[in-house]
Amino acid sequence: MEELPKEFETVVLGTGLPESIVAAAASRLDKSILQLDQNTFYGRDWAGFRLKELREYLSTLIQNKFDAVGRAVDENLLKDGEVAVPIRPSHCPITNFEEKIYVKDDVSETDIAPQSRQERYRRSRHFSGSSVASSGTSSTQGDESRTPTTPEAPPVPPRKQFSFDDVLAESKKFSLDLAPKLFWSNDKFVDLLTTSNVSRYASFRLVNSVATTVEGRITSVPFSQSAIFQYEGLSPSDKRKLVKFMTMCMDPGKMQEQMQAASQMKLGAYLDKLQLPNTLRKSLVNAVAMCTDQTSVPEALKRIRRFLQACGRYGANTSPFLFPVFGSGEYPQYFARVSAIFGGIQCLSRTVDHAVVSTSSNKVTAVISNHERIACENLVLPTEYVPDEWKSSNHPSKARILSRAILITDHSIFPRVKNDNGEKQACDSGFMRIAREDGDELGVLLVEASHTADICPADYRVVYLWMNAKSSARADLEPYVERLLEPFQHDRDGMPKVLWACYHNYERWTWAETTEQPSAAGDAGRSAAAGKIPANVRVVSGPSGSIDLEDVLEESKAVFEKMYPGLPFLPRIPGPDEIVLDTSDSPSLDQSGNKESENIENV
Amino acid sequence: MHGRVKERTPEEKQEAVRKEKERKLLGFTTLWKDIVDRRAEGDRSSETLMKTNQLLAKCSDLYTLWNYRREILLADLTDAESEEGKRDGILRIELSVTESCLALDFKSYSTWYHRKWTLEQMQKADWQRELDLTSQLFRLDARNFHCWNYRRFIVERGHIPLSSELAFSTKLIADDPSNYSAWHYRTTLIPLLFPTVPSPEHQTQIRTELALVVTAVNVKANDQGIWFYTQFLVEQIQKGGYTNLLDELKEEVKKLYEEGDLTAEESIAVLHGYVRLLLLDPIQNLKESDKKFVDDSIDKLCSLDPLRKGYYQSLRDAL
Repeated sequence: MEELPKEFETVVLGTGLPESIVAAAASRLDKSILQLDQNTFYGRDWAGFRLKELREYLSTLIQNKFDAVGRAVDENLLKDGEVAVPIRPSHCPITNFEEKIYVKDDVSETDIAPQSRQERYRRSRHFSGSSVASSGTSSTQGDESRTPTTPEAPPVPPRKQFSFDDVLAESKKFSLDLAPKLFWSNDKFVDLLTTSNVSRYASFRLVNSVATTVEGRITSVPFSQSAIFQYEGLSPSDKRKLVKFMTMCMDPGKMQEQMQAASQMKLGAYLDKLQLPNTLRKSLVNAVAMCTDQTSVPEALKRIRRFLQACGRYGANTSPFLFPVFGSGEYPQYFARVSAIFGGIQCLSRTVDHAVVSTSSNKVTAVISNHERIACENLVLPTEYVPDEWKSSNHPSKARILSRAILITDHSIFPRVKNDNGEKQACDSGFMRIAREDGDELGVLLVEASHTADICPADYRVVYLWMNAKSSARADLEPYVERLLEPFQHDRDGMPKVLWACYHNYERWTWAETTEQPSAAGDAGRSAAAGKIPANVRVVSGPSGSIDLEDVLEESKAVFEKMYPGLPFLPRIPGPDEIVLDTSDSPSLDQSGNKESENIENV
Repeated sequence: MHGRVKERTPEEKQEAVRKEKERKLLGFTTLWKDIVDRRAEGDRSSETLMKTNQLLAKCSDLYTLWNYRREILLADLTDAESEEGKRDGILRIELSVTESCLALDFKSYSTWYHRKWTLEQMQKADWQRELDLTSQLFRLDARNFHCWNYRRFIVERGHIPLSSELAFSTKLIADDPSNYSAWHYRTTLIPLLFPTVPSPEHQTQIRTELALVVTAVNVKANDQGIWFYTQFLVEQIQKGGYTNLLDELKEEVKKLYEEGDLTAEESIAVLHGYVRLLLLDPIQNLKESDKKFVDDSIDKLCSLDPLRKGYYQSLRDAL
């Protein structure tokens, strides 16, 4: 194994999104950065997986990752006046993993290890292949239509006969995210991607449908003037009211007036005045304002404005959302790559075992990783790695638990959308927000995407659902899955079907870094407020339930600014053509400028 | 420092851009000279044809080159006369050449002319494909008159059903109610589609148009294009003598004026529209209340929009 340098300015534990953004921003300014992750993959709780890897990760995660006993302290690595504090995740944030496979006749629960189930399905397919009589004609037809040598096969079979084996065979074409996210077309994260030139790595698909459910029916939300113009069942004067309302939200002056005039009002009462038809009104509250009737008018108007401002950025009448091609699990890697290009060192399968704290200054002076002492000036780590003795009554703040579901389906659940020639076609990717009966502000969020975003093979769709947890993820979300989709074994037409579903809960702790330091207070006051955590340790949190990544950006920026106050945050990264290559100074950069020769992956 | 990335300075970048420009210019002039010489020598080889491609891809406004191309092609086409389909094969290449030129510059007269010429030479042209091309280009600029002219040419030559063109215009209007070109297209299509007036079909169509216009003025009350189209519609209604439709239209505009919560700009457009609708009837048929309304409205218009005072006064003269 190659040895690491003995000294870094900043050691970052974890390769999740905020850690990687901080690492990229610091490396960009030529700070020396070491980024470690105990996993064998990038992204931590933000990671994206292939299908097989996801099942394996989630099913093994809970048993064996988090009860590992820490290494013993190497006393000889400590200096006088230093103590070693063990750094270990205190808990596993992912819990209640449950899986359900709907394909084939027997619906099986996840009581068997994935490996053996694969075997079982392989066997059962062989059976149906060898004895045609046993499973009927449909399975043979299914096999034929997959064979590429029969181009005369029926163009689109009504319902292809799947087996889970078929799905698993294409495991590599799936890219499933633990923390799916969308981008507002004009949000701060997208701005950062453009200004920093990280967008060089990224591409997007426009989300082409925004929907909600009204009385159990999925209805698309008219978010553009054109959609309102064509909206059926709405009188011209109602259309006028709606357009006028939206125009008002786009005009800052008028909106301010409205916000003041109705500052004490609830959105419900405010919309009563507009007298919109019920479906439209619900669409507006559920999917555009993304709140409830009880939300205050100023807050709701702000949200509507945000939604509308993001509309139409990429062509007339386009939706406000972008879906990241290959999924949001790629983003930690994009930023880690930036860090690597600028000299940062990334090292997987390796973690910080101990933090070395100087008792006199209450600062981390070094970390011990794999029996090596690595000196550092700053340490960045995720909340669940913070040792108990650093915690205080205020930090971390109370955990929020999310229920998440990842589904593989066969057709889009969204209403068909018109393409550029005015013909209706299946929706590529869609966003839906379903209001919860208990009035939870987040509601149930749903994102669906297809192979056009390179996250699954052509015959499938991937659907993500998440909400604030009430109980276990499956108990929370299965009712919604059953309402929107039907299990695969029913061979009825007209409704998209779910082939596979997996559920898990995610527990998110935040450090509430922003309220930590009163700006004018002295060192004494600060340390009291911050508990016993060493002054040069920065804590970052896991993915939240919000639809976008703006909160992550804000947190990363705050961490960066505390470590390097006054320095620019991720200035533009030069493109390949702007880099001078022919000096002996930078032998590690090839023509494309992104060779990661500094990347050590010691497994 | 280890691993540090070195960037080019702005001066270096500028220098690189200047060199690149020089290199391009030299390539362009050499090629141009070569082609002019070849033409003088009467060269009609396919190699020369390829050379003109290279220049046209950079600048499609060079009509001399298009002319030369046609000279060469005409010779090729006469040679290909005997073989079935060969002629169209040559011309299909021309279509792809003009298509890539249009992708770079869709407002070049000479490219559009060449494309028209190519289609006229073809025995079996794929008209639907041409329609799709124009639909795509309208997305870049919905008022590109080159493209509109070309589309009309395709519709005529390709015998495209006018009803589908009407549907196309509806789609453009739905995308953007302010697309005046699309509204105008309707005024040319409707008289062609319904030559006999009055007729039940014509009346049904006008009723549909009325609904479209009412939605449009509600969504965009101050768009001039929609009001122009309303005038066309009124002419059609009068030709057909569908007085009930005219009353409906008046009713809707009145409702918009009274309940629409209009801004000053919108008020001018809607009030003007309403006054003109009222004045369509012979004066002696106007009710006293309407007369008074027109009179008051004109006062209001004069104060809201003093620049057009004289015009509004002339409307009053009709009373």
